[in-house]
Amino acid sequence: MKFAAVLAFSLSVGWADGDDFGKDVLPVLKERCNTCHSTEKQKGDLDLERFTSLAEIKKEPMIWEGVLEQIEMGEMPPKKDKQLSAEQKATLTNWTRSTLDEIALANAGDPGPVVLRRLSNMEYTYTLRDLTGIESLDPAKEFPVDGAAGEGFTNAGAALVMSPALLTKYLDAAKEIANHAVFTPHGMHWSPSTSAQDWTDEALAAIRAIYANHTATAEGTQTVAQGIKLDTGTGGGRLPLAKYLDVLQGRGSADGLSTKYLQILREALTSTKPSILLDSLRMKFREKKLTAADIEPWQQVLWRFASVGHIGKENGPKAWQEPVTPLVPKHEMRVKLAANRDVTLYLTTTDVGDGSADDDVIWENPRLVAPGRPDLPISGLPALVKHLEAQRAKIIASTEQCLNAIVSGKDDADPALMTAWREYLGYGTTKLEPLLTKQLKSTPDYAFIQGWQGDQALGVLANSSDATVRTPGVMKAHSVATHPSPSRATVIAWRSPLAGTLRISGDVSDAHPECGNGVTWALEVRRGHTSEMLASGVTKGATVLPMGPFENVRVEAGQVIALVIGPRDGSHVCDLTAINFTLSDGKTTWDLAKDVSPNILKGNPHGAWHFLSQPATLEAAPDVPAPIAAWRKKPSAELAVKVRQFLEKDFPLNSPLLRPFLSDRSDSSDKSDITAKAPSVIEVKIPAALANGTEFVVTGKLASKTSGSVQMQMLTEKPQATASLVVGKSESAVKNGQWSDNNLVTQHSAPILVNDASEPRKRFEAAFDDFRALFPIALCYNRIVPVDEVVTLTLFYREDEALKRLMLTEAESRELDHLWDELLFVSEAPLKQVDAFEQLWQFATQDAKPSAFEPMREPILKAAAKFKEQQKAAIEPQKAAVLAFAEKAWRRSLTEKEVAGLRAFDPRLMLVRVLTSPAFLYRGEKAPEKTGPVSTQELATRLSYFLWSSAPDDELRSAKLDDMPAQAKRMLQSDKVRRLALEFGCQWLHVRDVATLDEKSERHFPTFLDLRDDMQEEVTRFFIDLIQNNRSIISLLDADHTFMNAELAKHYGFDSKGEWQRIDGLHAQGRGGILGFAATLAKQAGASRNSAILRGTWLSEVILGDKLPIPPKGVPVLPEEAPADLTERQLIERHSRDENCMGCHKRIDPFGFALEGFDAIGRARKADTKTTLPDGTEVDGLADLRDYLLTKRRDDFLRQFSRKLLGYALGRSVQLSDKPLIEQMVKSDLRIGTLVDLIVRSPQFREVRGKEIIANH
Amino acid sequence: MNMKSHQFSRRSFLRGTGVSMALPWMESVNVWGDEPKKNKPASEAPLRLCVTFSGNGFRSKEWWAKGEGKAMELGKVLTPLTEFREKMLFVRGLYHEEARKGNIHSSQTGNMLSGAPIASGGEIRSGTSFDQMLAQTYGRSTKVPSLVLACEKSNPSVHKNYSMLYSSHISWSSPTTPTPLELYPALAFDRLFKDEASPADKSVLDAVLVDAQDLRRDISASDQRKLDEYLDSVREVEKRIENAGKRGELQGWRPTLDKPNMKRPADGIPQDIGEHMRLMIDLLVLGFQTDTTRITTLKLNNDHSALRFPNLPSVQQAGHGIDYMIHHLLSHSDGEDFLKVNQFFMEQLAYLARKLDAIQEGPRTLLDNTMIMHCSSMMAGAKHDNDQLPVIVLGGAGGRLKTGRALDYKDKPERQLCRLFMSMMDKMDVRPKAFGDAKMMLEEV
Repeated sequence: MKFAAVLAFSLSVGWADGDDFGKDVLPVLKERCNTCHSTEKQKGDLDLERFTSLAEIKKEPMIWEGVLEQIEMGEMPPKKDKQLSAEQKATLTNWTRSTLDEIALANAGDPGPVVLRRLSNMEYTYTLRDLTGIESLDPAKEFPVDGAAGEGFTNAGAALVMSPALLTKYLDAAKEIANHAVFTPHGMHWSPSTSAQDWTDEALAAIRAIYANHTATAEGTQTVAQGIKLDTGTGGGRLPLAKYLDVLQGRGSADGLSTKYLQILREALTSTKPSILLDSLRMKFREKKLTAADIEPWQQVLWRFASVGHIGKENGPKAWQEPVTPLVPKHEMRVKLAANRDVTLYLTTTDVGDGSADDDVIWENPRLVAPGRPDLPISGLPALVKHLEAQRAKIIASTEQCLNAIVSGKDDADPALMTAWREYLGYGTTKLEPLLTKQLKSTPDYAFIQGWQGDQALGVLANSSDATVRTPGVMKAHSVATHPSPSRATVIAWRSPLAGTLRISGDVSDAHPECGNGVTWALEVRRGHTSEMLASGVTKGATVLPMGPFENVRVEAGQVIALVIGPRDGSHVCDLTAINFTLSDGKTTWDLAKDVSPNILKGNPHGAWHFLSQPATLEAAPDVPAPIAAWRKKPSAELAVKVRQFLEKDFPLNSPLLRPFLSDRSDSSDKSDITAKAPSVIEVKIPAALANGTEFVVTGKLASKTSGSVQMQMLTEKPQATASLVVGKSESAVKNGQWSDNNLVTQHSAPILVNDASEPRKRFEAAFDDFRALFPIALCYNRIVPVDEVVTLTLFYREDEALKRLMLTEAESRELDHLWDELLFVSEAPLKQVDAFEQLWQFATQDAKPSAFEPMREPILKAAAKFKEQQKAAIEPQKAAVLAFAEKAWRRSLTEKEVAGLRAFDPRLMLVRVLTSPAFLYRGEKAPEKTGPVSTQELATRLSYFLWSSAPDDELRSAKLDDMPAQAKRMLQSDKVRRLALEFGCQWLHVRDVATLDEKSERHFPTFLDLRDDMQEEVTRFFIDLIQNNRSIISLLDADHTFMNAELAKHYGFDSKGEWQRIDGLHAQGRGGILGFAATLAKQAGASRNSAILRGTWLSEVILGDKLPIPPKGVPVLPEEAPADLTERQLIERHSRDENCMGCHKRIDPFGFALEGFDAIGRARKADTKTTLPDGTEVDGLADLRDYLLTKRRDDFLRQFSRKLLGYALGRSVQLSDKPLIEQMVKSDLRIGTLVDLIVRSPQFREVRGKEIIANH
Repeated sequence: MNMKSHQFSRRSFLRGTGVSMALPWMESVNVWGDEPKKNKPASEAPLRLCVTFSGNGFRSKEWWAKGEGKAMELGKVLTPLTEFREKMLFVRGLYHEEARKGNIHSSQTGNMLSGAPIASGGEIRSGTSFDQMLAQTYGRSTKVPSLVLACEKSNPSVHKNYSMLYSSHISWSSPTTPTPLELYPALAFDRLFKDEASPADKSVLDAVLVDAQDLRRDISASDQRKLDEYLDSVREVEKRIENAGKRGELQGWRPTLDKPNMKRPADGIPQDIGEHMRLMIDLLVLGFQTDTTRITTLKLNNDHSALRFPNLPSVQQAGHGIDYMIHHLLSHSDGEDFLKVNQFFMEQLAYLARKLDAIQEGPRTLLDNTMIMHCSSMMAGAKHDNDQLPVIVLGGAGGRLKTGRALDYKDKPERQLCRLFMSMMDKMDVRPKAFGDAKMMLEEV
C-alpha cells in the first residue's frame, strides 16, 4: 500500500539488531496468533504469518500498530480462547511498541501522503470573501456537502471530490462572483452588488462621504417658480466657517479640520495687502473677534445659487454657485407705502468707507407710483393735494345732481364730474383680461373633452359627449369644469349685454374629491374698478355647493358677473371643479353648460361668456361704500341725498372717485431730481391721503460719470451712522418666461454705485474676488444628482473646485478625481447624456425654445466620443488588475504563459476563468524529485489555510520563509481565527453542526431549537478566546470561564443579561470546559433522553483518543424513553449487564454516568452521578471526572488534541512517523500558540514528498 | 489496487480508474441509431436505468414476496407496489462480502453498488459503482450521462473510523470519487435542461483545461490522479455542451417529449419530504422521457439517516413516545412506525413506476424500457445485518428482463449482489468480465 512505498524509500537509516524478534517474539506469534492469522486462513483479512523478519515488519508498521492496539484492548486473542500469559503479553507489546517507536523516530517528519486538496466549501467561501472583501458572498450555499476524511475534518483531499455537475456549479459561481467586479478606468474593485445602478450609488456615496467630511449643512430653502427649483443652497456642501475661525483665534479643536484651509485662512487674515472687504475682517481678527456672522452676510451678497440642470445652455448659468457683483451705475429703489398714515422716508447716501471725494449723487425723479393712474412726482405733491381737495368739494356739492342725471339721462351736470361718477359706478365696459388663448383640442384619452388652457393645468374644459368620464377628475356629460394653477385662478365671466336685473344661480363642486385640498370660489358682480361679492367659499369634497339663487341683481350693459375658482393655498392638485352657472333677466337665459359645452372652442369670448385667469392672490376689488351701493341697487333722490351726506363725512383723497382728477395733473408736474453728497440723509414726507396703495420710486446715481463710490438706500427708519460699507441683502428670483430661458434675476438692497470701468469699480471687483476666493458660500455641490429643472439634463454635476483648492491635500484630490472618473465610467453618464440631450431637445420643441440648448450639443457629443476612447483605454489597466487578483487567487506568481492565456479574455471573463481554474480550486503543490521543502509561497498557503481557512493576505504573501513562525503568531491574533475555531475546534468536538441539529424531540425540549445557534456560538467563542489569548489547551478541560448571551445564561441557570460576554465562576456551578458545554452535552444525547453511552463513547474516542472495539451485530435495542420504573441510567445499566455488551460498556458508560447531571440539552439536573471509571477510579460528577482527566488521563488528552490539530494542519491522517512531533507537543508549555508553532516549524508541515516515492506506489 | 479489466462494446468510451483516455467525442459515442445493434433496431427506444436507495434497511419481517405474476404475494413493506407485481423482480439472499467487514452503517453503504473494499482511517476509497460504469459507457450518448439525485444532505464527519461520505454516497464515478449529489430540484432541472452552449463558458472551459494540464505536469503522481477528476469533469462538461446541439441528428427513434413539460421548480429544498421526493422523481422521469439522460440514481435518504417524517402521524406515539420520527432511530425501534416509513418509501417507488408506465414508447411503456432497482445496505436497521440485502427490480429492460418473479439465493453458493449488477449491465450491452466480487451474471436474471 501507499505507506509501504514510503518506507521503502525512507528506511535508509541503520536499524537496531532484530534478534529479539526471532528469539522472543516470533514464538509467541506462532503459538498464539498465527493459527488464525495465517497466510492460508487470513482471519479478519489479516496475515501475520508472512512477517518472518524485522525488515518485513518495518515495511508495514500500520499492521503492527493494529496488532498492538488489539492486544492492549484485550480484543485479541478472542475472549473464548485461551488468553496470553502476562509474560507473553509483555513480550509482545513491549517489543512491538519499541519497534514502532524506532520506526517512528527513523521516519520522523515524513510529510506523509497528502492527497491534492480541493478547497472545501468553507475554504472556497472564506477565500472568496477575503479576496473580494464581500462578506455577504455565499457561493457554496447550494453545493453538495463536503465529506470528512483524514482525522475527521472536511479539509482532507480524499473527501474533496470533483464531478461535472460540481464543475458546472463552480463555473456558475465564478460567473456570479465576476458580476460583483466593478471595472473602472483604473482597474477594478469589488462590490456587494451586481448592478451598475448599485455601483453608481456606491461611487456616489464615496464621493459624498468625502464632501461631507469637509463641509457643513446649512439651512437653505428651495422654492419652485415656473417649474424650476430655485435653490438658496440647501443641504450640505457649505463652508463650515465658524469652526475654522474658532481654531484660528485660539478656540475649539482642529480635529477633522483641513490644515490646508487653516493655513490659507491664517495667511489671508494676517496679510497686509490691502483689500477693502478683508481689511475690516482682519481688524476683527486681530482682536480675536471675528465670527462667521461677519462673513456670512457678504457671502450671501457675493454669491447666488443657480439651478444646475441646464448649465451650459444659451445665457444659462455657468455654475451652481455663481458670483454676483453688487456694483451698479444706477440703483432704482422702490418702497410700498403704508396705508392711511403719513410716511417719512430717508434717502441715505454713504461713502462705502473709502472717503467722500467725488461722492456727489443724484436722486433721480422721486415719485409715487400706483397701478391704473399716472405717476406723481413728489415735488408736485403739495399742489396736487390742493387740486384734489378742490375737486372733492365740487363732487360733494353736486352729488344729487350727478346721481339723478345718471338715472334720468339728463345732461345738466358738469361733464368732468359725471365722468368721474360713471367710471366709479362701473358704467361702460369692465375689463376682462387676460383671456385664455391656447386651445385644448382634446385630452389624451377623450377627443370630446376640449377647452381653453393656460400653464400648469389651468383651463376651462367642456364635455361635448353624452358620456360621463374620468380625466382623472369626473367630467359629466355636457358639462363644464375648470382647473386653476398653483398661482392663478380661473375666471368664468359673463358680460352683460343689457341693463336690468338678473337672477343668478348655479353650483360648484370638486370634480376630483378623492385627493387635493379643494378650491376657493367667489361669485362677483364687477363694475368698473369696484366689485360686489355675491358669495364665496371653499369646496368640501364631493358636496355640491349652491350659488344663490340671487334675485334682482342690478347690472348695466358691459358689467360682469364673474365666477373665480382659485387653487386654495397654492395647491392645485386634483382641483378639477365642476360648475353650473345660469343667469336670466326674465326673458333670456344664459346657461354656461348649455351654451358652451357643445362647442367651447368656437371662440373666447364665447358669446357673453369669457374664460380668463387672474393671480390667485388677487383680492376682489373693494365695493363702493354701503350708501352708494344702496343707491346703485335702487336709485332714488332720497338715497342720493344719503350718498352726499356720507361723502361729506368720509371721502379720502385717494378715493377712486377722484382718480380722473389725478391724470389731468400728470403733465403739469415737475420731474425734479434731488442732488446730495455722501454722507447725507434727506427726509421725504408723504401725506397719508396720497400714500395709500402707492409705491415710492426713485433712482440713485453718481453725479460724476467717471468717479465716486457710494451706496444709496431709501430707508423707512432714520439711519444711525452713515459712514462705513453696508452689506445689504440680495434676493434672487425667477422672472416669468419659458423654462428654456434663464430668468434668474438678483436684486441688491444696497448695491455699491460706481461708474462702469471706473477706478473705484476695479477696486471693488478686486476686493470681491479676494473675498470670494477665500470664502465660497459652498465648497461643493454635494447633491451631485440634480433634479432642479422641468427636465434635468445633467446626470451628475460636479462642482468642487473650491473644496479641492481650499481643503484637500493632493492625495485627497486625486482620490476624489479617481472616484469621479469611476462614477462617470460605471454609470456611463457621458453616453447617456447624448440620449438625454436629444430628449430634452425634443421636449423643448413642444413648449419652449430648443435653440437655447444648442450650445450644449457639441460638448456632449465630444464628451461621449472621449468616453468611448476611455473605455477602450481602460481595458489594459483592468486586465492588469485582474492579473494582480489572479496572483492572489492562485496564491502564487503567474507564468508568462498564464498571463498571455488570461489576457486573451475580456476582463470579466478573465475573472471567471481565474475562479474556475484548478490553480484556484486546488491547492496544488509542485512535487520535487526528492522529499523536500515546499516553496515559500506554498508554505504561506499552507499556513493560511491552516489558521484562516483562506488564501494568504498581502502581508503573508510577501513574507519570507523565516518569517513564517512570526506570521503564524500574528495570524492567531486575527479575527479570522473564528474559522479555525469553527472548522477545527467545533469539528473536532463534533459540534460543527449543532446550529442546524434537528434531531431533538420538540415535545421534550421545546427550547432547544432557538438555542442551537447560541450553543455552537459558545464553543466557537471559547476557542477564539483560547487562540487569540494564547491560552493553554488544558483550559479546554479546566476553564472556569465561558461565553454566554442572555438566552444561554438562562439555559445554564446563570444570572446574566444582554449580549455575549465572558462569564467566570463556572466550577462553582458544576461546569467548566468542554465537558460542560451545552453543545457537546446535547449533541451526545438522544432525541428525548440522555445517553451515557453516547457521551462515554465521545469522551473516550474524541477526547481521549481511545480505540473502542466494534459493537457486536444484533445488539438489543434500547427504547427511546426510559420505562416509568427506571431512570435513564438504570435503563442503560440493565442493557450493559448483557454478557455480550458488558465488556465494552464497562469502558464507556461510566464516563457518561458522571455527566448524568446534565439532561439531553445540557441543563443541570439532579441525578446519580457516582460511578467507577474503567481503571477503578471512583468519581462523582463532572468535577471529579475533570480531575481524573487532568491527572490520570492528561497525556492521553494532550496526545489526542495534538493529533487532531496536526491532522487538521496537514490535511491527512496522523501516522506513525508523526509520533515524535506529537510527543514534543505534549511536552511543550501547551499554549495553543506553541503547538501551532511546533507544527509550523515541523518538516511534515514544511515539506512535501518527492515524486518518486509516490510514483512507486 | 488491482485494475479490473472490463470488456466494453466496440467503439465505446474507454476510461480507466485514473486518467481517462480522451477519444474524440464522435468516435466514442454511439449516437442512437448510427450503429444498429443486434436485437436492437434503430427505431426502438433505448434502455434506462434508475437505481433508488433508502438507508437503514426495512422492517425485515415484512420484506418478502412469494409466487409469480398476478399471484405474487407481498410482505407489508411492499404492498404499495401491488399493482406492479407482474413488472417486478424480487431478489432475496444476495450480499456483498466486503460490506460485512469493517464497521456498521458507513462501511456497509459506500460500496452498495460496487461491492468494492472500503478504506478506513480517514482515507476515501471504494469502487466505481455499476451505475457510473454504465454512465461512462452507455450513458454518454445523452446530454447528461448520469443524474445523481438525493433527498438528504450528507453528513461531514467520520463515524467509527469511516467517513460518513460512505453513508450518503452509493454512486462512485471512480474508486476515490463519490459522485456529488444534487439535492436541489431547481438545480437538477438546470442540469438537465439549461442551455449550456454558451460560447463564453466553452472558452473558459478550454482555457482551464489547459491550466489543469499545465498544473498536472508539476505535481506528484497521486495528486495527478486527484486532478484527473477535474480534467475529466471539464471534458465531460465540454462534451455536454457539444452534445446539447446534437439531438436533432438522432435517427429513427424519437423521445416522446422534445422539451420539458414542467416549469423549473422553485429554488431551495421543499419543506415537505414527500414533495421533495416526488419532485425529484418527476425530474428523473422527465430526464428519461426527453432522453436527456438514461442513467439516474436517486437516494431517498442516507444510511444513518436523520430524516424526519412529520407528515406521517406516529401510531406508537401514545405508548412509546416516539413523536419525532427520525429515520435512524425508527429503524432501531423496528416497530409499526418504521413499517409506515418503509411503505412511504415504497409509495414513492410506486409513484415513479406509475409515471413511467403511463408513458407509451412504441409498443412498450417507458417502464418496460427501464430497470428500476431499489436497495438498502442492510436488511434490518435494528440489527445492521447485511448478510442478505433487500433488492427489487421493476421494469422490463425492453423485454430482456423476465419479471413477475421472486428469486431466492439465500441457500445457494455464489450469491454476490454484483452478479445481479453484471446481469443488469448485460441488458445494456456492457459486459465486463468481472465486477466487484463477481465473475459471472445471475443466470436466472
